[in-house]
Amino acid sequence: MKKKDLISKWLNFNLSDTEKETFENLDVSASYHRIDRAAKYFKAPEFNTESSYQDLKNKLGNRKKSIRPLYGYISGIAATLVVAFGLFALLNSPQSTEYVAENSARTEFVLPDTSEVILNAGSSISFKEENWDDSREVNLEGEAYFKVAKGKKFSVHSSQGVVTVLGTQFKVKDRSTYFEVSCYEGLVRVEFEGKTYELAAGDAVKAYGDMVVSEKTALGKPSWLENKSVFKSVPIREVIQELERQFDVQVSGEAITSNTLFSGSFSNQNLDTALQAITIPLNLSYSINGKSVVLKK
Amino acid sequence: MSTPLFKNVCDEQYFSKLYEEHSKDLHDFIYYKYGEHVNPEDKVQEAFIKLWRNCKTVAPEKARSFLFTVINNITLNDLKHKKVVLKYQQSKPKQHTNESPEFIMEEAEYLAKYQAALAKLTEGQRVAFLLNRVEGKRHKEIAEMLNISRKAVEKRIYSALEKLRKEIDGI
Repeated sequence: MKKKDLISKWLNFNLSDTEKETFENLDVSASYHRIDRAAKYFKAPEFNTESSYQDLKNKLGNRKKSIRPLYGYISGIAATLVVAFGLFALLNSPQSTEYVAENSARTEFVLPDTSEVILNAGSSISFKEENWDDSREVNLEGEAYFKVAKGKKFSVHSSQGVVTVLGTQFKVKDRSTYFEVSCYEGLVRVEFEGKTYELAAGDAVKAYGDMVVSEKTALGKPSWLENKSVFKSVPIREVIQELERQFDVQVSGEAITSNTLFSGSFSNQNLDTALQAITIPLNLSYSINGKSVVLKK
Repeated sequence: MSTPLFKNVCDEQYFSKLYEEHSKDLHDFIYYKYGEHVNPEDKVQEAFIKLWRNCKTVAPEKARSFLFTVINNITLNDLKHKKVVLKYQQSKPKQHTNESPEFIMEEAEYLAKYQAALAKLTEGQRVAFLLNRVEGKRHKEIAEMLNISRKAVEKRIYSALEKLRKEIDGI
């Protein structure tokens, strides 16, 4: 392939693995990468669609009043139509499809466009199958890994942020007080508390408390796909909550509300080993009684 | 539903959907094309006001191209022959943990060179390049936005990259 075509393919996020290698071996690839990275500094300022639409509505406010009398004229016909249309809409309204992964379980499924989703324990996803071709949007509670097929914009709405991509691999973790997005391939945009973060492959952003931290992820896939839960500087209470979901147990006692940062991992297959992995570094002991675990000093 | 539900864009719900879908693209398009001093956000609103006033005559499938044409005309009427300087953001997109003073200085120099090099691109090159690299848009999407062929987009972005590299590396 000609050098120019190769570079154009890179610019269109379209390189295959072997082409990627050829590209990286170009003498100018470092310059290109740097130009690419630095381009982000020139990003257009944040555009808030919602507030700017409110402004527009205010500006248009006077205008609309003058149109209103027309509505009166046709309201008779409209009323009949509303009934008919309401019935039609009721029968045709797109149904939400929902997938749930219970505690200590994992669910894998394929979206209508062949995008793959893997839900981690204690998570759920819903989306409208009928409108899928028009808007690829899912609502997520919990944690999931996405391998998105190329196509239109794909958005993940969660309680704390919105993540949009075109075609890539990434995971979103949204647990009450903790929010994390890791990008494994392609480019991901995260909207969180009014700010936008752009993640390239290997980037991650996580937020807990008042902290927002950008970092690198060396992993090619979320660790829980290999039945391990890995944490890097994560508050210990999040680690314990993850343990509760993975093994479907209730943890009580010491450290469960602590904000101390924990780096380490535990296996999702054996509760004993997992508890040891957490308690030994923290100098705690534990006892298991059926579905409840108590941590002690 | 494949048959269009609305004959024109006068329906307020549909209008707000159009706003949601296109306003950011319009904003970015104007920002990268003309820079900040033209107030891209105001231009977006003016374009939509114009759409609302003409809502009876604009077919829904024509709304997007109507908006892009109108916003461009509005902005052109507003300014003539001004040189575009895109400012680089003070906040950094990435965190560096171990920044030496040399690193910071080198980075600042690099960005200054970058800024100058961007200003030397043609308008077409700059818009396509930044939409691609910063907003992550594919060639096809940009082609639709700018109403040019995909090949032309590819060429603009490639030549922009080459020009930037030569300017910045000082070759």
